[in-house]
Amino acid sequence: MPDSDALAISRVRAGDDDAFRELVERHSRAVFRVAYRITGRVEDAEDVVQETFLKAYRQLDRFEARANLRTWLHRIATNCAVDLLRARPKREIAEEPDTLERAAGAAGVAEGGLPAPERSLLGVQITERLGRAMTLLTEMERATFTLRHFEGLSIDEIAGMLGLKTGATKHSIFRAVRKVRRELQPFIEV
Amino acid sequence: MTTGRHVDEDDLTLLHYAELGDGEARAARAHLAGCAECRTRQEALARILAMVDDSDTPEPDPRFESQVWRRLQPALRAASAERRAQPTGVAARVRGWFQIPAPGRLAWAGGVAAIALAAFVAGRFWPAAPAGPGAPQVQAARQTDEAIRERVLLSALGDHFDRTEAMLVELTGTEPDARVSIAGEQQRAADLLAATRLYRRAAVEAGDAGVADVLDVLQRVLVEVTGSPSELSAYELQALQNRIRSQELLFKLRIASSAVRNRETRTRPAGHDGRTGA
Repeated sequence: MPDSDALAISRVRAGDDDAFRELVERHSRAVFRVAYRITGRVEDAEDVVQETFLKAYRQLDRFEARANLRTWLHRIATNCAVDLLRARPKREIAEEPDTLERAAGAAGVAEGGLPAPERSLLGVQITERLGRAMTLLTEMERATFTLRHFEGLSIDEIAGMLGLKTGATKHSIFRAVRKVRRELQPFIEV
Repeated sequence: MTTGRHVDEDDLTLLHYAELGDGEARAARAHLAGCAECRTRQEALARILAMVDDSDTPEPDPRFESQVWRRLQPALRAASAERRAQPTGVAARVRGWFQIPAPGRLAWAGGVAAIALAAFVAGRFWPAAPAGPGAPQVQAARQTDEAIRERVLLSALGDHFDRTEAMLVELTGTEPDARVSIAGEQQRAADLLAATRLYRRAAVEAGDAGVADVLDVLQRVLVEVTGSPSELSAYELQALQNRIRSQELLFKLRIASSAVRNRETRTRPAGHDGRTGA
């Protein structure tokens, strides 16, 4: 853990609440990214950020000084995001959101050599398919896949973070990858 | 020449993420070196995951950190007070209301939202709470914890509806005259939006579809207000006002507020008709 985090934590524990602001400013953007990738909605991700820091503040006495604050915050954010997805009515999940719809850059792999208009159209199609693929994932598949693929956590770490068995975590990632692959397969055959 | 069995999809995934055991990874690589079919599947998987990898998350507003901090502050103030309070103090009691939801009652206390909501409500009601464990009010409160918890939450929600309605009445009542600044309304809308999201989530978790629907409409409108330019032309202001009116939001807010107040009244003990100390 960076010294600056450790120092800020000790100041908060000593009653200096302004020190908590430093932690919010240092980590909130990264927490937002984790939350967005799991929830797929900006507004939900913002809520998760709020809840994450509120929980962190309330549980700061339980945080071990040797642990990594970033990992701890991401764990709280992941759990908040998964809880939020579970609470979200199914119809909302089915309609889904702006998940990855902003991912215009995702077209880069299959598009090589195509003229600009076709490339642009392909990019939109890929983005839509990607968004659809993410909506097909269960909340747990989405969380495990996000943590493995984007956050680079090991399967064991994810299992520990989400309170799952290693085998269940692995299979959750497998299912997620299969669903994503099924949706995007046509684009690598272009 | 190929070595061993084909590498299945799951092992390709594990190999991609460097999660295959050493021996299995060696065997898989050896097979892939000599098997064009498996190599093609491996490359396809890598290209698909690269598409996902290239996807981007939206970048929050440059003021994101300060906005998070500003919106956190009311809840943090309440949480800070709790941290410093004695275990038998009001903070512990208020926290307890949310930790032991009463079956069959309004289940606002459930889940993640309750934590934030509890802090929010605790923050609002803290100044009016009794000082120590021996106070008569504390004894009375212990006897009626469930009713108080429900009443406090309903009261807070009713106040929230009222504040939101007041802001929207001002906004829809503004004369569309040349250019109009709505910066003040936007600031209030941003604060109301954070609370609205928490209430909406709590309502969804509690299965209160009626309240959740009103809060859903409200949330959309508040998002639109906060996302509008702070200075509007007469035409833009009129368009915004028309969109708010077309949702019949003011009417829905009045109905919802009235319903919540009625529910709050029903939770009061006989002979008490004063408002909870908001």
